[in-house]
Amino acid sequence: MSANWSEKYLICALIYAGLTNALIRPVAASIFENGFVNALLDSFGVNAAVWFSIGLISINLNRCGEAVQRIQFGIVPLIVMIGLMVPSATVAWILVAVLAGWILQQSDDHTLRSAASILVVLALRDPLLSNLSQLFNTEILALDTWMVSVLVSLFDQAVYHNSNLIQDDKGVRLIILKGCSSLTNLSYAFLIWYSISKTYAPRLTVQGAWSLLLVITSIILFNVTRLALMSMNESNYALIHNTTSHALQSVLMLVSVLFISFWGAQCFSLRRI
Amino acid sequence: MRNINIVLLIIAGLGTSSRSTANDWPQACYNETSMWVTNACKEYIETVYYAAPGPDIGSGMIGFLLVSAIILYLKK
Repeated sequence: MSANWSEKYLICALIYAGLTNALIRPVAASIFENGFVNALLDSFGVNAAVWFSIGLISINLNRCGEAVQRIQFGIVPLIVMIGLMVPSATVAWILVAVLAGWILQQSDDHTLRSAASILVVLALRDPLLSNLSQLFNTEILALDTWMVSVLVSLFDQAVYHNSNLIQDDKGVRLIILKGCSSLTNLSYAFLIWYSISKTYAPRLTVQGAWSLLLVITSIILFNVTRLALMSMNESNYALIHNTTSHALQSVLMLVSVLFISFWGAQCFSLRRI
Repeated sequence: MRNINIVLLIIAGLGTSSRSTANDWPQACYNETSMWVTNACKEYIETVYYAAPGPDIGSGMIGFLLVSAIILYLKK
């Protein structure tokens, strides 16, 4: 039996209910603790990459039209519906991932599948990231530190790396902690790239693969350059590490990732610019 | 059925994966709730002038407004 009009909206409503459950706590905390204007300044406590991918999921759901009506309402949406009564963001993300996996299994419409795939990546980004960073924390920081020491050495400064420390003859210059690593930004950049690619170029092209490589390289290079410049002297550190500079850097990263990703999805041609 | 099995396997894996703790300094100096565990650790780190998180991609109002504008444009 095909799903009727109300069931179509039930599937969409379940997706949005899951996302609301997952995001309501940081958004509400941001508004109640800081006020609306300050919450807006902090993008409501949720990264802009997350809002962007939700926007593209919504665009895909609007486009898929009849496809969602052909899905038979089954036991999985029912379990998700009951599970969403649990007031936990982690449970909500897991349920959203399960629902998205179920939609992938049920539908062969590429627009609906794109929305579901983006949902899976969005829902699993946070738990995957926290597990990866806990499992490979030492290795990731050591890799970042090594790249920074190589770059600083290019500027004729005698430094060497030890675990997550940049050192010179006088002592420790820079400590690279978890928050300084490229991993978090890589996960957001991948989310943006994946959302755009799935929406505008569902099949991976050579240009799409190049754009992913460019996105990864640009984020790592940006972070390593930032850390290397900070480790050179105290005035550099003060300049790069202030609030205005942070805002500028985050916007620069966002614009470059969006630009490269839209180029990879062939939304525009560089020859026309 | 294959897709949902993959999703469920990933979720199960995430829930049961072992959690390592890095004991090398300076990771041992901080944890999730309190950055500074010991005063000695704090003093040591403060003598080195750099230790703080970097900017997140698209954090802040400009990033939020930018992605909102792009989504509104794409929805047209």
